[in-house]
Amino acid sequence: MQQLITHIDKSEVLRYLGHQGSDIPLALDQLIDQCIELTIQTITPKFLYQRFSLVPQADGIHLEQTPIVLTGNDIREHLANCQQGYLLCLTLGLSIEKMIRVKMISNPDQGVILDSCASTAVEHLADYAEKEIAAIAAKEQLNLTWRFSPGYGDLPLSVQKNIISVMNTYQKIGLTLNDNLLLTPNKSVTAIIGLSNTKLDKRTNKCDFCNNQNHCAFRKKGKQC
Amino acid sequence: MLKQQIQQKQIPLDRIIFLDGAMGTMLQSSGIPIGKVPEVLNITHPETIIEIHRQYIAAGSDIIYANTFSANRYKLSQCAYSVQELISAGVRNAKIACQNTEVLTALSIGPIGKMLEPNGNLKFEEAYDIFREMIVAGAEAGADLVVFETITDLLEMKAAVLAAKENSNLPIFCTMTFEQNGRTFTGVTIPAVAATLTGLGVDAIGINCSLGPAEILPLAKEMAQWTPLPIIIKANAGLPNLNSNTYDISAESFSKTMQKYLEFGINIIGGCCGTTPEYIRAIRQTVDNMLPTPRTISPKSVLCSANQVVVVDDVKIVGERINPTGKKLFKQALINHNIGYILSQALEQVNAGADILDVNVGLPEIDEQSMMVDVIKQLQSVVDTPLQIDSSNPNVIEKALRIYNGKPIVNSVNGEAQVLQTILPIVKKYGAAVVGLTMDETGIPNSAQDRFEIAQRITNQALSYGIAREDIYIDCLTLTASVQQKEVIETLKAVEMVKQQLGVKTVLGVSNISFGLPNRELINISFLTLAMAHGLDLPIINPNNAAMVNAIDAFRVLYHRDIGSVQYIAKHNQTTAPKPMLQSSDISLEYAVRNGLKDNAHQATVQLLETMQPIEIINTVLIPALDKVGADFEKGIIFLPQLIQAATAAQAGFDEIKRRLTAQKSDTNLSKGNIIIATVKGDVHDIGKNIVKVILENYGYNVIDLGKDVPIETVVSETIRTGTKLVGLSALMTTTVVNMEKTIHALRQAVDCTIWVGGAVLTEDYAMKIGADYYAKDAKQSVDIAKKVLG
Repeated sequence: MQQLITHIDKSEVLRYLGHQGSDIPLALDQLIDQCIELTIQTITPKFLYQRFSLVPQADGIHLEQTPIVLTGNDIREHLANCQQGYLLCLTLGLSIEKMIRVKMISNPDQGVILDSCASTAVEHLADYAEKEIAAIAAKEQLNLTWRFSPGYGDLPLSVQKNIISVMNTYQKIGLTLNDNLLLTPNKSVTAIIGLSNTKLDKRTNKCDFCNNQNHCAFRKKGKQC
Repeated sequence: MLKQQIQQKQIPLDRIIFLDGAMGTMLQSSGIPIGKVPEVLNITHPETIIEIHRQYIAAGSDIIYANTFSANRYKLSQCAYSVQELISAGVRNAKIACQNTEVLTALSIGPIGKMLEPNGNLKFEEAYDIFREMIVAGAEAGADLVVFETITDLLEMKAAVLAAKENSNLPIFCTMTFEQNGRTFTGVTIPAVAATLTGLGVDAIGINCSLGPAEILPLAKEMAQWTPLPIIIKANAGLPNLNSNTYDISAESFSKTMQKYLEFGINIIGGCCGTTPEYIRAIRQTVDNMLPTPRTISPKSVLCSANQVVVVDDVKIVGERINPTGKKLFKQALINHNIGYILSQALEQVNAGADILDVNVGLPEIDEQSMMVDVIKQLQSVVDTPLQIDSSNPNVIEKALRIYNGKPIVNSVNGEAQVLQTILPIVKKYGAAVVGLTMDETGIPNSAQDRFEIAQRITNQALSYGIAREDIYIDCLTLTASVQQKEVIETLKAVEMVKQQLGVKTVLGVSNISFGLPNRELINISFLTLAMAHGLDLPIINPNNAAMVNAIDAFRVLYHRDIGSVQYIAKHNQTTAPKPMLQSSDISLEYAVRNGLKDNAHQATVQLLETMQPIEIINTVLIPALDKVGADFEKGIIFLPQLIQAATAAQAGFDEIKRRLTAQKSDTNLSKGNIIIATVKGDVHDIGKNIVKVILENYGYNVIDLGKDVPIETVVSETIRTGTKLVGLSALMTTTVVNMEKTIHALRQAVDCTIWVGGAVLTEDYAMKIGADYYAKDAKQSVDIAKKVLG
C-alpha cells in the first residue's frame, strides 16, 4: 500500500459532499470513515516536478528550453516577480476511478463519498509535493507562489498538452490527456509554482482567479472550495 | 543464422540475443538540440542517429531498435513530417548502420500517449489504426521485426499486435512496463500479459523501462512461469530519479545483475533508459560464453482479464445471470439498452463468488453484435473477472474477441463440421479458450460413449488448429431429469471419460437438471456434487444461490482441494444466523426510505403489497417519502449521501413491486415515462449525472443513461429512437458547455423535446442563454422538472 497519503481530512470530505452542519447519523459517519480508509488503500499517488527558467515575452511567459508558453494576464500577474518556477504534475492513479465506477453501480452512497475522499486526497497530495518544493526553495531563500493550474483565470487548458509532453508524465506517472484536454486519470493535477526572492502577489486567495467566483456555492456561504 | 531464425519467427531459446541500449540517453549526450519529436532527427541529423546505432553494433547488439518510438499520428499532430517520413527515415538509418553485419533492425513502437477506453477516451479501432499506419511504414522501409515497448495497457498492446499481424508478416516482440509491485499503471498483471500475448501468438514477450535490473528480476521470474515464449528484458540503468532524470547504477553492476537472468532461462537482453553502448558491451563481455538455462513450464488452463487471472486447476464458478433466457427484466434492460442493470447483475455475481461471468445478450429484437461489444467494454470497466463470450454467431464472437482485454473463453462450438471450421480459427487467432458442446447435426446423443466421440472430434479439430489442449473445455450437456431421467447418468459418465481420456477441462450448465421438478435446489445441489465428483471443472450456476456455492466449498474439503479446510473454515466459521432485522411491522416504508434503510424498505414493501395495489404504494407512500427527503435535502437538514441512501432504499421497494408485477405478467406500466440523460461530448465528469440518474429512477422514471462524453448525434438519434420527451444534459467544464449548447441546438433542429441542464459552471441565466428549457442545480430540482414535464 502507498505511504504518501495516510490521512484524509474528514471535514474536507464533508465539505465536498455539501454537508452544512446537520447531524450525521452514526452509520453514515462510520461509512464515511470506511470510505476514507478504502481511499487510502486504493489510491496509487505519484507526482513529479521540475524547475524551469521563466522568460516573459510578448505572447506570454516561456518556460526556457521547452515549447511551453503560459498565456493570459492572470498567470503573468501571478508570476510577475518570478525568474524561475516549478511544473508540478500528480495523480492518484486509475484504481480509485475504477473503484468509484463500481460503487456508483453497487452502492451509490459509497460512490459519492469515495469521489469526495479522492478529491480531498488529490489536494493532500499536491500539498505534500508542494512542501518538498518549498523545502528546496527555502534553502535558497526563495518564496513560492501558490499553485496555479491550467484552466484557472485566463490560462487556457490547451497548455496542458505541452506540459504533459515536456514532463513525460505518461511514462513516468501514468498521467495523460484526453482529446478534450482533460487529465486522465481524472483525480490529477498539473500546476505551476513560481519562485521569487521578493514578497509575493497581493492576491493570496485562489478565488481571485476563479472564473466561477461570482456564482460559487461555497463563496455564497462565505467559504471556499 | 540468428538473422534467418528471427526472420522466420523461430526465435531460439538456447542462446543469448543481445539488444541495444537507450537511444534517448545517447541523443541527450550528443549535444544536438532535441525538439519535441526526437524522431525528426532521423531526417535532420541522420549521421548522429546512424553513429549511435553503430556504437551499439560495435558493442555487440544483435538487434538494434530504430529511432521510431513515438512517431505516431497523435504525437506528430503538430509536426512538419508525416508518420511515413519519420519511420522510413528511422528504419533506413538503422539499416545503414547494419550494412555488412548480421544485425537486425527492429521497428520500435511505443505507447500512443493517450489512454484507451474505459480509462481514457481513445477507441480501440482508432488505436489499431494509429499502429497500423506505423507498421505499414516500417515494413515497407524494410524493418526485420517490430517491437512494441513501454506499453502499460494490455488492450493497447492487443490493438498493436493485431495491427501488426493483420498488416505485416513481421516477427513481433512485446515488452510492457511494470511498477515494482508487478503491475502496470493501468493495473495489468504479469500473468495476464503472458497469457494474453502468448495466446495472440506473438514471438517474444518481456519487460522494459521504469525499473533497474535488480527490481525487474523477480518480475521476470514470474513471467517465465506463465509462458513458453522467449523472454525479453530491457531494464533501466537503475532506478530513475523522477525529478532529476538520472539513473543510479554503473555498466559493471548492471551487467552483473543481468547475468542472473540467464539462470532461469531469459535469453533476450538489452538496456533501456540511462544505458549506453558501454552497458551493452559490459553485458556481452560478462555473459558471452554462457548459455541460458533451459526452461520448463507446465501447461496451465488460464483465463484472464487484464487485471485478474483464473487458473482452472480446481472447480471454478461461471456465473450464468447475464443471459436474457427466461428473464423478463433482463430482456427489457437489453431492449432499453440499460447497461447499468447488466453491470449490477455482474457485480452481484462477482460478490457472490463467481470466478468467470458468462455473457449472453442474444435477443431477436436487438443487434447482438453491437450489444455484445458494448456490454463487454462496459463490464470490463467495472469487473476484473474473466468473461465467457456466449454466442453462436461467429461475427458476434469475433467482434467480442477483438475488443476483449485479456484471454476469454468462447461458449461455444459443437461437433458440426461447419461450426468447427468457422469458429475454431477465430478462437485461435485471438488466443481464447473454447467450450465444445457434445452435440452435432444429429442432435444430442443419449449414450456417454457417443457424446465422448463428439468431444474427441472437437478436441482433435481444436488441436489441429493450434489451440492448446489446456484451452479446450467440453460441455457434455445436462439433460432434464424429469424428462430424460436415464440419460442423467450418461452425462456424468461422459464428463468422466472426457476428463480422463482427453485430458481437457469440462463445463456443465447445472440448473437445467431440475426443470419440472419440485424443490429444484435439492436436485441442483445433488447433481452439482455428483458432477464435480465425476470431474466437472466449470459449473455454470447462479452464484447468488448460496446453497450451490456452499456445495462447492464442501466438495473442495471432501476432495482434498481445500487443504486443511482453510478456506472452508475461514468462510463458514463466520456463518451465524442472519442478523435479526427489525420486524417489518416496526418500520414503515416511509421511515425506511427517509432513513435509507434498504433491507427494511424491501421488507416493508413486501408487507404492504399484501394489502395495497402496487401503484397506490408508489403514489401514496414511496413518492411522498422521497419528496420529504428532497425537501430536507434542500433545507440542508440532510446531505448528499443521505439523499442517495434514501433513493436506494426506495429502489428496493420499487424493485420488489416490479418483480411482483412481472411475475403476475401484469401489463401495468409503472414507468412514468422515458428520460434521457447524458454528460455532453468532451466531458468525462459524470458523477453529478449519475446522482441524478439514481434519484430519477427512484421516482419511477425510465432513465436512459447515454453515459459520458456522448457525441451530439448520439443524443439526437437516441432521443428520436426512444421517443423520449425529456432530455437532461450535464457539463462540468466551461470548455464543454460549448458542446452542451451544440447538443441543445442539434436536438432543437431534429426533435420536439424538453431539455434541462445542470453542472457546476452553469447558472440559470446561462442555461437559458444556451437554449435550455430548465436549469437544475441538483438532483432534487431535476425531479421537480421531470414531474412538471412528464407528471
